[in-house]
Amino acid sequence: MTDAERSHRASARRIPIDEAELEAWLAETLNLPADMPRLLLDPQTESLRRLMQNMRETLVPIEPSPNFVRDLGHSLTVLAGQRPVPFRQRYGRVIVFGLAAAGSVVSVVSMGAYWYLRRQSRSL
Amino acid sequence: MSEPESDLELVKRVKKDPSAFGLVYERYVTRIYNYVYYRVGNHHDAEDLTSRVFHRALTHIKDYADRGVPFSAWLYRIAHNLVANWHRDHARRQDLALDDVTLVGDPIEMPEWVAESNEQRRWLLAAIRGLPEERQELLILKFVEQMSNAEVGQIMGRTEGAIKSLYHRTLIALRDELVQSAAANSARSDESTPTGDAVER
Repeated sequence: MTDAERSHRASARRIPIDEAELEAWLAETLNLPADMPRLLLDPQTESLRRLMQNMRETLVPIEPSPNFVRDLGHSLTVLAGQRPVPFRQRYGRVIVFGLAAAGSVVSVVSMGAYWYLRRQSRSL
Repeated sequence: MSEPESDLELVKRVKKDPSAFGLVYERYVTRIYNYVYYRVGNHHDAEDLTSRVFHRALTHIKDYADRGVPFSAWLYRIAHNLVANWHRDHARRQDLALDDVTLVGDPIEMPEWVAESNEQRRWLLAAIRGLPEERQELLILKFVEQMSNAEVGQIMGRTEGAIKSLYHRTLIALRDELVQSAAANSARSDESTPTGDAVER
């Protein structure tokens, strides 16, 4: 770093940061074009803008190795295929509807039986 | 063309038919790998931890319930916990990581400007890795995963406003750290290099 840059940085640090204002600006204008002349006048803002630009260039998405992706995918597929679906999950709905249907049948039959027995007892 | 299946629909399908987990894996493997890689700093551990994330997700996906937290947040939470355990086990921090993929050029044939740029990136990455864990996580989700503040908030369990505030505090802290580190470096190099005045004397 040259002396001029160092002195620029040092002077930039001496300027008090109005963080609230800066945060408001960052929140609203973070994704605006980098060449906004008004912003370039403010060394604090400019240094943050430059930092963000460096971060964008440094923290870049990477691709995992294709072999790794394929092998892990394969092992997960095998493992998933071996996992039995829990009994309750697989048959839960069938059991609930089955029990409801059976209950209905039982109640209809009992009503019929009651009606039949009552009729029998009356005829005696 | 039909709409891609939402995460929630996909999870429902996996609960009925675990073999559909492959679709979840395809959708998230690169994103989870990126997250883990930037948190641990090397491919070997990133692969190991990514593998564990998906194995754990497969085992526990039946317990996932949509309570306003998206499935992706649940998955990142698993990754976060595994990375935290990894850091606990590897108590020492790696000084310089992320050494191959993110840097540009062949070291032997690198032009000077590439070497300088790589050096700056190393410096920046080292500064980022010196930040508290939650701030590192925030920067990775913002820059690598390119998420909005709202999405980051869902993953980190905070409000959008809290994330915005943490993000800006992090940027300012990082900038100040870099300025201080630059000043310390230049002071060190001034001490070690004899100046013209010193030579004359």
